[in-house]
Amino acid sequence: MICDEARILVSAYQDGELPEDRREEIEKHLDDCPACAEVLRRNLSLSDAIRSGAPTYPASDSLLRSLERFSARRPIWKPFVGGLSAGLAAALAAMFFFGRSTQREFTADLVADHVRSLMAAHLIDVQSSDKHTVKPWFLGKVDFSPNVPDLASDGFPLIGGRLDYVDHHAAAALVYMKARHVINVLVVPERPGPPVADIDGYHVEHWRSGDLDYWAVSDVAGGDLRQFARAFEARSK
Amino acid sequence: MNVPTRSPAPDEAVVKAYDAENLRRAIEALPAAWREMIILREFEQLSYKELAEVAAVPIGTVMSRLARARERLHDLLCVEEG
Repeated sequence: MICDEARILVSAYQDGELPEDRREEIEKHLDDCPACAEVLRRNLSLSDAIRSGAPTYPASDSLLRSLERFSARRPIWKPFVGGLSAGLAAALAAMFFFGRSTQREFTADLVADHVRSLMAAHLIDVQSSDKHTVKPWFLGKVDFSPNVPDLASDGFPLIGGRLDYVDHHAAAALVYMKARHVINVLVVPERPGPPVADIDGYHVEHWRSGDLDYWAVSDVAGGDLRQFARAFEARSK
Repeated sequence: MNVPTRSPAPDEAVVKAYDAENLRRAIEALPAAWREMIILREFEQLSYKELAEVAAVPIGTVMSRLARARERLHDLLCVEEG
């Protein structure tokens, strides 16, 4: 194998994208060629650096423009045959606009938060099924006022609220039930973007109302959570 | 998914040299088509098949763009260090 060809394959090898026979071929070449082995080593370092640098990666105008052009070429990013998320463009945009954690990490954070709230017996700070008790409780604790609709007639009784933290920011957590399942709604200002729908069997729904972003997390069936999100939105108006 | 059966440990010193600001500048300096590939691969971990669909190019082009982008990034970073 000549090095020019190997340099291309090394990159695909690193990404785990080579078929078996090519993989063996490149491994043999890497054993024999220190220069190409060095390329692999520095490529891996580069990937590490890019990925670890992601949370503080600031958006540049040119990058944003490039993303806009990119998504504009493929209207609305309708779901691809390969099952690629339709919300990818928005997830990317959110990632660059906010320069915080990537969307996937953020969604994983939400799920971890939900699980923690169930395990640590710290589900509720203010226990009440009355929205007129729960909503004012957040006054002075967070600098925004979340919608707290009454969804009991939709089959989602409110049981309370608590103060929480999401992505290093104070968040209002509203706790609803669906039968015996807990639905956590985390409310944060300006944290848009579509969720990566399912993580570890948990479902995540996102909607925006005013300048607040609402994230519902639960292990109820995905359809139930979507129904919950729609009822929440409808009754917030 | 074919995962490499062995991969050398990343070089700590090199990782440090690739600091965030230098990386950002280097990524911006890439041709747009390469930049898209790198971003979608590294941040969103899209497979080559998905990348090919997104960019509407053959998988072979994905492969070569990524390889060239990485090579260029390395060159840009080394020039900046020097």
